[in-house]
Amino acid sequence: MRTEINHIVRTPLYWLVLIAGIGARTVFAYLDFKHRLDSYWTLSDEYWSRLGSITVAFLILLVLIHRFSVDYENNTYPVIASTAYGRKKLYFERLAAGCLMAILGVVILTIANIGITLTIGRCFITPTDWLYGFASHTIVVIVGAVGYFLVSAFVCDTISNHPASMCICGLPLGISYFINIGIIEEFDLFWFIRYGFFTELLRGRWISSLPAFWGIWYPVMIVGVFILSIYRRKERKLL
Amino acid sequence: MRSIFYEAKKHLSFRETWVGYILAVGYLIISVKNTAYTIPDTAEQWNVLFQDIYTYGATLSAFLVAIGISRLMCYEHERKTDAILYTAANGRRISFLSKIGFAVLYCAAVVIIIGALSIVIHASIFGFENAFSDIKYCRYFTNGVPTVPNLVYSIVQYLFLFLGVLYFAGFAMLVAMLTKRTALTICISGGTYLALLTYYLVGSTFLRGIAIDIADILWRFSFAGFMLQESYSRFPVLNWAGEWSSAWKTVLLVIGIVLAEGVLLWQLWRKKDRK
Repeated sequence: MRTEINHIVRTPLYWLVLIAGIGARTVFAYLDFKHRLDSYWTLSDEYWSRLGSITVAFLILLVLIHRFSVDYENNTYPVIASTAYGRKKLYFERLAAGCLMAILGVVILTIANIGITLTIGRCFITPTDWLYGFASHTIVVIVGAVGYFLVSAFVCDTISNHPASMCICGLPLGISYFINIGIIEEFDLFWFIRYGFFTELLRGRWISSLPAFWGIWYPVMIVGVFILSIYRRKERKLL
Repeated sequence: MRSIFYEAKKHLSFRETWVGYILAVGYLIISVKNTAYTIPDTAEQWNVLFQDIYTYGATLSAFLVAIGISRLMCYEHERKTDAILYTAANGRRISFLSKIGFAVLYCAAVVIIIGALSIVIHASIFGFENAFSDIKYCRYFTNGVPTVPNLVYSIVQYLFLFLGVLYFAGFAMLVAMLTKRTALTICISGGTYLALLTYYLVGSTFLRGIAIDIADILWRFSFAGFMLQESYSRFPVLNWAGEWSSAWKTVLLVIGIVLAEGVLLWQLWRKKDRK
């Protein structure tokens, strides 16, 4: 697993995505400080609602799941598969490393947001409940990031194509940002798209619409895509 | 022409192309179904049809271009076959022209299919009534509604969309030439469009001061502004505002931008060869 973590850490794109996300947050924090002072702390608390969740999604789709198709892209999978640990062990180590690096990314963004908010708003007294509220949102984001990474990784491993996996996993997530929850009804198609693809969790919010249903949906989805991935690997004699 | 055909065959061999097509068909069916409804006033019905591009046409076109064009300029580099390509006498020029030719044809096919389906399905709901009557309502050209028939304006809108899509395709190809990675190109080009779309929809709620002025200028000159038809009708930066008679100026502007992108692409292509 250390090798896989090293691979990801040495990928410049991992740090570029984080730096771009932190840079954008700095610009928006400054603009909020200049023009929307009365809601400065509220907007910082809602970091995960927009910019933070988009940064985490890019990190997962662009960098972390690529490990599951890189062998096919480089035509090295016959060599990898012929080694003693190149099948099952490598697969699960990549999953574990990806989960850890997704959590690390969330932690880095959390520390950066706290640092930027406190630095730019240093002339104000920090509200006592702000840090606690932001931390509770961050825990939800970590759960969402791990779940989203797992589903995306299983999809990428199943179809062995990074751009196609990005489309399949990124499109529902992208569409859900533009869905107005005020006009959707339960069990509507857009209701599924809005709540069913980790968007709310990545935005730091537990799902308020029929949470019991989603408590069953998400584990079933993760297990289902995992079984599909295992099935495809057995077909290719990689497990 | 044959080399364009080979580029098309290559395009159809990419897995993400088919994934993109399936998702696009699903999105088109849902969008057309949600926007096809009957209104008593026929003029208002045509007005709803005119907004198909704003509702789903532009975003769907951007999605198909981002998926379909991203791999075009970096495929040979990813597969490490670009050196072989340039051993041919006219390999550089022919491969570049065939890729550009395919990109133009692909953009045209995307716009024609989306436009034809939208116009035919929506207009057939009310039987193409008043198709050759002059427009009564127009969301975009408020300072002087175009004095053209409803059907003609519907088609002209998709010509405007085609120019915007060409602009976006040029941008995606430039990003592909610079990054040389398909996934990164899809992210950057698709992400840029989504960022511009987000600014258009809700930008005024979270941007203030000079930031909104800069964002507005970027928006007006961007491909998203042309794809969503806004830049053809309102161009405050150059004092063109809402008149149909001034639309030719922005058409010339976007054609100039597309040609400039072509020249820049050729310079980058030739520069890549010399390495």
